[in-house]
Amino acid sequence: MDHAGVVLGGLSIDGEADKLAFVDAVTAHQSLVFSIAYHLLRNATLAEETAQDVFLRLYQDFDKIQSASHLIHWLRRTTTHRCLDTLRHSERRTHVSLDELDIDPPSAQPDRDPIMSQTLRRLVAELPAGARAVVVLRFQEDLEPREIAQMLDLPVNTVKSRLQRALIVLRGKLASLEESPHE
Amino acid sequence: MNDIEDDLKAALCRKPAPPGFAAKVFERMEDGSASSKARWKVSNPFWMAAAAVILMMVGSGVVGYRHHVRTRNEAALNRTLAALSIAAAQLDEAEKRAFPQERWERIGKQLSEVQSSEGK
Repeated sequence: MDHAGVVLGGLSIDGEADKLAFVDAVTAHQSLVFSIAYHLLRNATLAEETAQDVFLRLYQDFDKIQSASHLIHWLRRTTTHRCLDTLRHSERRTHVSLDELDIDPPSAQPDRDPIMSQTLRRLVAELPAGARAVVVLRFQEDLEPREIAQMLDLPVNTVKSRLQRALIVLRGKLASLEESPHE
Repeated sequence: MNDIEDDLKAALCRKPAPPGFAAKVFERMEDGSASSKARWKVSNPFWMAAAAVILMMVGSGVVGYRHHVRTRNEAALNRTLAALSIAAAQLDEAEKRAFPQERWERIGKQLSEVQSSEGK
């Protein structure tokens, strides 16, 4: 569980207490931010740079954070939007070919089915950016469609339909992979 | 069929940030927040030299401007004096035309005669 003991208020970042709170926030939530960035961008270097940028932005806006839950919401939202901007502006567009994908960084816990996990991560990377963001926020962060809709500034029904279509696509591709002979 | 949603949760679980990530964030943070002080301390001689050059340029510009103003004022003064001189000469000429020399002499003679007759 994330460090719920971080107390944040509207103090100036120059205060020693706030500096310690910021350090605590980075330490406690770096995996959250990095993971969202990595699963959306599928490039560890780019994900690390993006994650650093997010925390630097947090440093600037730290006095606006009102609570620990607000902090987590802020980090999820900022990271996701920054990644979506990167995907929109980069030449990678919304689709990433399998050849371009990085080797997956190690997980904190061992995969029960590492091959399936690796396959699914690659299939998720092939989804359009919008659908990819919905899937990551749903299954990495365990957010409900309503929360995802608020975070992405989308109607709830749009989030639900994107999620549904993404699952259909993923199931279909998995089925195709299972049926096609391995070379 | 496997429940794809459980598999997705496992596949998309959070991954640890790379080693040293937090340190890099703090380093960038310190660089950003202390940049104004650090830049002043580290490259102070450079900025001092640049500031000195700029000050010299500005200073020479100020001196030049003052010299220009003084020169301009002196020229204006000279022109004014010249105009007054011309005016004075013209006035003198006008007087001479209005009161010719022989008339002054005649007036002087008459005054002398008057004075001598009164003296008798």
